[in-house]
Amino acid sequence: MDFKKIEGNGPERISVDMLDPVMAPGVSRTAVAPITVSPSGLACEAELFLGPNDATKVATSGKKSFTSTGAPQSVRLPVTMPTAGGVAYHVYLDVFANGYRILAYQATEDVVIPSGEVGPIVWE
Amino acid sequence: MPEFAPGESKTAIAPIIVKPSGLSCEAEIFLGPDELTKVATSGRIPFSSTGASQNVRLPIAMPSEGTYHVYIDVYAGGILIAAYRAIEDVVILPAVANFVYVSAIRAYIQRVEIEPPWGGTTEYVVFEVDVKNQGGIAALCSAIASCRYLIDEWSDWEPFRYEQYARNNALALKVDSAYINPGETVTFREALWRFAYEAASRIQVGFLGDAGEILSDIIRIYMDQVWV
Repeated sequence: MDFKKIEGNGPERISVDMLDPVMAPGVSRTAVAPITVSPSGLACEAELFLGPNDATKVATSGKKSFTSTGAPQSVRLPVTMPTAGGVAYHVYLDVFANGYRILAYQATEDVVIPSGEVGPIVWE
Repeated sequence: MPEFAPGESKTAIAPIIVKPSGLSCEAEIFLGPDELTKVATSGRIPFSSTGASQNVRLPIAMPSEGTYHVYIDVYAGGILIAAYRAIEDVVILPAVANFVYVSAIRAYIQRVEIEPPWGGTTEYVVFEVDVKNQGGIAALCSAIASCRYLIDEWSDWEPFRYEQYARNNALALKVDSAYINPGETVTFREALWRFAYEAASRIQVGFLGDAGEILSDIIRIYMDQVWV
């Protein structure tokens, strides 16, 4: 799944290995995001979250810690999909260094949590 | 509980709601003793979600005799998103024969050889009708012909009349019972001596048997033809 940069100084697009566009409600998935933070040695965090906008987190990996190396590093971000189905959610990825948000990305396609129900059948 | 015949083709119409709209979906109905054993299935039938209720048609051929649970699974993007079991099971009845008339009674004149020592031919009116076994097992079927005639008023129904000189040859045309396999059609037939009701202005023929009763048009035999 591709992510487009919203804010910060970094690659315009990154590809995150994780998400299919359609997910079952409540399923757990781990996103592996290639993140580059320079210079090396910084205390960093990354967070993947789903929501209708970047201020509303319906599901989140929480902030996952890593130390910058100045080179791309694969950061694992586990997320449990929302249980409320029938909705499409935007997907966001934020990167922090020393507590400051330095990068913000949004996926180019939403994650869809479908819902389904079946009524009484009629035989013909 | 719904009851069906073995092998009968039915279509379940399932009102399905999948949200959001625009998703590639599939639905499957299957019968079995449990949700892991598919004795009969529609297979996955594709549809696109609209976000609203939509009737999805799920064709399925009924299995052999027995009682089965009914399950419906719904998929979106290849993911199972809904799994239902119907409140009512389906009952598949024992296979039976089901005889049905599949044609009207046909009539035509046929010349029949007069038996030795006499020669020549005489005319019989042949009446025939087709019976099909629409059931699941083979069985013996009978269909007996009778007729009535109109002179001043209609007579009672009576067996066909034969004359003495070509009787056996005419009787050889008769088919009043047959063993019919499922899906098979047999023609039942009997021949009526054309001059048996020469004084009658009209006659009517009926077949009565395992397929029920069927009557012919009221006919008149004149100038070597059968007239309705």
